[in-house]
Amino acid sequence: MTSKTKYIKTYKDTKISDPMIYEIIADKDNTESTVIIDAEENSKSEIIIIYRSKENYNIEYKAQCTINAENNSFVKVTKINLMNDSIHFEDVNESFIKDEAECLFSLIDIGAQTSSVKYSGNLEGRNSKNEIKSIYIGSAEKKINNDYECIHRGAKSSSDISVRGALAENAVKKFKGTIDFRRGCSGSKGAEDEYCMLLSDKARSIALPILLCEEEDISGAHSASSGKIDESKIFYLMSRGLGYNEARKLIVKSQFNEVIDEINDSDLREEIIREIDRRLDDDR
Amino acid sequence: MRSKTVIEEIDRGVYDIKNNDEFSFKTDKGLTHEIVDIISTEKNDPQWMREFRHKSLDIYNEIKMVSWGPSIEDLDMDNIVAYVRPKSDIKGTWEELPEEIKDTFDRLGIPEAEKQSLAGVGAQYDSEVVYHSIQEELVKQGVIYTDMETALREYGDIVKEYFMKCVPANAHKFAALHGAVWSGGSFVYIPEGVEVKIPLQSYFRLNSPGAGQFEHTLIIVEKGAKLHFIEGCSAPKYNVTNLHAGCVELFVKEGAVLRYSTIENWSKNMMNLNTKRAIVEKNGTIEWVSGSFGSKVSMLYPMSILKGEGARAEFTGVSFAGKGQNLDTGAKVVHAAPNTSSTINSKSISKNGGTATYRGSVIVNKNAHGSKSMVSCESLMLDNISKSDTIPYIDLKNDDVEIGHEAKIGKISDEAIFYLMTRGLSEDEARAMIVRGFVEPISKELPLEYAVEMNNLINLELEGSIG
Repeated sequence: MTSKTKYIKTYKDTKISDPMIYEIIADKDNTESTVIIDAEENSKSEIIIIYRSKENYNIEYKAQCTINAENNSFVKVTKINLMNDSIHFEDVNESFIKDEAECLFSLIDIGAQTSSVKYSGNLEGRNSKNEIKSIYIGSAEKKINNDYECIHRGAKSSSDISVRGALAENAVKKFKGTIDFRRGCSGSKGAEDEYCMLLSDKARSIALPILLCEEEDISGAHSASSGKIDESKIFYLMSRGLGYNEARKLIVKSQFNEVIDEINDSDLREEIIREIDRRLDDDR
Repeated sequence: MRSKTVIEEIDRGVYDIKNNDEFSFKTDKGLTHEIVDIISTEKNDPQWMREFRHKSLDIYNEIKMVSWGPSIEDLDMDNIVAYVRPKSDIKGTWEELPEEIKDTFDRLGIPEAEKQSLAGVGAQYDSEVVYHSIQEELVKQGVIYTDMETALREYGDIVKEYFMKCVPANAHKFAALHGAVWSGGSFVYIPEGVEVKIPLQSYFRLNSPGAGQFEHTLIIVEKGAKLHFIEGCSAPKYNVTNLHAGCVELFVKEGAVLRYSTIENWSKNMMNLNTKRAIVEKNGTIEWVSGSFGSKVSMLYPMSILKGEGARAEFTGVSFAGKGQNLDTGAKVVHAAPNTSSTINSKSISKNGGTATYRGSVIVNKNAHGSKSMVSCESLMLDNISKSDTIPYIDLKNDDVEIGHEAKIGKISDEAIFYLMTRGLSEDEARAMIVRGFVEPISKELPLEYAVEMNNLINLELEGSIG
């Protein structure tokens, strides 16, 4: 078993416009990886990390990522899980966001047999920002366990957690999202929104959206909703000539567009859409 | 930065008036099989109940203390007196009661409310019910409203059929404790098709310091019947910890409607670890209206089990946590049949270092197709030394459901206070008016005199912090 560490540093006042794309490939000899991202003051960077696996190894893969966003920096990290369906994927992420810094964390969770992702955002600085966008698709026997938290310590910090997902066949999803306003974070705002589309009678969705608050001058809101795809939408699309499954896929993907469209690489975007389609086709 | 005037202790008026700790019988402190036996003998229990108590105590000793929620470290069961028989047996008129007990209920306004707006009243003082009455007309319709001891003697078969079937002794540690030492409480039976138009009310007063109150409320509303039941609770403040571990079991049969309203104003040395559950059958409705103001620690999550198709649950609750209080409250719903629906509306206010937590769950079982649930939680923070948390759990086991949850947390906006002040209100009045507006959806669900009482309690609570 080996562990690989990638260290990505964006120097002070450097603005990188194109995304840095890293592929991490799991096999029986590569079962762990660590990525450390340092965004120095006034820097701007975007990093895309794609997790794949070589064969259908039944292995446990552990990924770790630490993001340090220094004052006034902007860092966007997108993680894409395209592992084979036999992998057990565990991903632990944390970020430390300083004054006026902004961290965007996106997660596209498609592959693996079990996928457990933890993200902990520490909004330490004044006016710090953290946005989390997550999409997932659960099919076959997949088990998804997402645990996101944003801890507000800095004054006037803001966080936004947005999770969209679809569960087909026997998939099980557990989502825990926490916005934690600590004493001293006056003027902060936090929002959390989770929406789960249930595509199968055997799928199971568990949600625990938590708001914790020790400060008076804040505004926090969360919402969680789940349900079947609106039959009238399917009917409308079918009346326009689409088959049932095509209509259903279109509706599911429309929920994911916001995250997928932001990927600055057309090949990658198409691959993600293909993978989503494949999983929804299998569910037919 | 505005400075705040803080008044440390506020006068809770009538709620804090203590009577001498007079009793005709009291068990030793602690919890043993001997004490359970003494309670059973003292209450003249039938054999099945005596056995049930002992079995519950065994379960209590086996189950571990809850590891989540507020700290209940201050609760030392070895120092709690499980049973205090007041110096009066049950009476049919207020005049027959000892002066001191009668005065207490007079001050709380119970006899007056009985005259004006209630169809029946039960009043419990420490461990026993001291007064019970019901309108003649209801008796003629077959309505039974009596204390649990009388019910156990006169309607033993019904009690045995339902007692702790909704809340089994192994539900959690304090349900087991309740099963072992329960005493007092009310029994209500509404026959098929009977609509009780005026509410029934039970009031629970715990006077004895260091005692526990473990009243049991059992309500059965038969097919197509309707009832509004009101529960009130209070206690004066002592320096020792008191414990309230009551149990409420509600059986709502096909097409029946039960509204269960509670205004709880325990003193701030009270551990309120109450359990309330309802089983609702086909097309039945349970409506919970709950106001939690007092107690040091509250852990209270009324649960609705929607067992029959089309059953409905509605929960409307408000909690107000002040200095030294940790109120962990919420609602639980289990959708266990198709086309069931639930609505939860919770509001909480925290100030002066108090902690208010909404903790709830919505579970939709596999067979509960076509079920709908909407949960809404709003929290108001009145300062930055308090705490307010929202912890909702949603578990869906089928796809044909519509579930929504939303929560908001925030403070009173300065603009709103400023606006009201330009209209001639003082800052305190403006603040109190906004808080009353915040809880209005709940107060409008209460009968008028209880809405007034709740507003008075809010004013009383707000006196502690003049911003």
